Amino acid sequence: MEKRRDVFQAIADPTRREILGLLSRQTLNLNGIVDHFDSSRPTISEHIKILTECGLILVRKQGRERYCQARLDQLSEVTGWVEECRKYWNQTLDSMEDYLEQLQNKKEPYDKRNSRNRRKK
Amino acid sequence: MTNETAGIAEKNEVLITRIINAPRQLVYDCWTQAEHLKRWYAPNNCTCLFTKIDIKIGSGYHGAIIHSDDGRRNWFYAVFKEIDPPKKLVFTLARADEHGNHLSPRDAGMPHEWPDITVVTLTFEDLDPGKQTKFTLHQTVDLDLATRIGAYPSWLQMLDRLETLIVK
Repeated sequence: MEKRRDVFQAIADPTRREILGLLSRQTLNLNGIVDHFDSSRPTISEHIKILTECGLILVRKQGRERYCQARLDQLSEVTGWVEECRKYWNQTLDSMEDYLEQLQNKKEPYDKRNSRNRRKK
Repeated sequence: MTNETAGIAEKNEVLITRIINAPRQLVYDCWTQAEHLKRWYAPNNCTCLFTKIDIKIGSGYHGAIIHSDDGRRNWFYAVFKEIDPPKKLVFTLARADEHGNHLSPRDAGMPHEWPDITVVTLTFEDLDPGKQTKFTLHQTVDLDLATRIGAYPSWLQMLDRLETLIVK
């Protein structure tokens, strides 16, 4: 089963965020990372696998050791919140416009129904 | 530092303008009357649920965007800062839990470097009175509020870190 991996999924989990935080300061091997957490080695290993698949960690072999290095430039996607918000609002406003259109097409003019009282200022 | 902060704030803004074929009062009511708001307030493939719609300064909305595919609920709350019918509405927007308590983006499962509290300003302007309205939506980060809650510094740090990483 193919699962989509992206930055948002990578950092949706607090342990993964901590792993990234840790690796942003230093390159560590798996044991070095496991030492920082209460979680079991397989658990951490799974998180690292996900982070690797998301492109946020690069694993390099050096002799027998495998070192994990953070590749945080990918996170610029995250700071794209403006883009996400714009998309959210544009879709929501489309919905508002559709609703307004429906409302006006099926009813008598809105002004006559509801606005009388408000106009007495 | 002040200039730098202001610069970042300016970059992180959403500004949308729409020309809408509807009377200004009706467009305004869409945001302030429960019967309307409940019927459109959601992006694609989502529906909304409101537990509170109380258009008063210091009060506001509490509700959730429900994703149709998996039923996931993203709760939010809004607090009104300015109400000027039918011209302008200003409210802060943030994540909440189902009881209306504030949630940090991190606790809400969002990227935790996203701004915690944003400010949404809506303006409604008559273009052709009774027929056409110019609507704008402006969303930005409230530096004061965010700093008070402590979210902004971490966000700023994150951007600093990103900048150094990207530039190198």
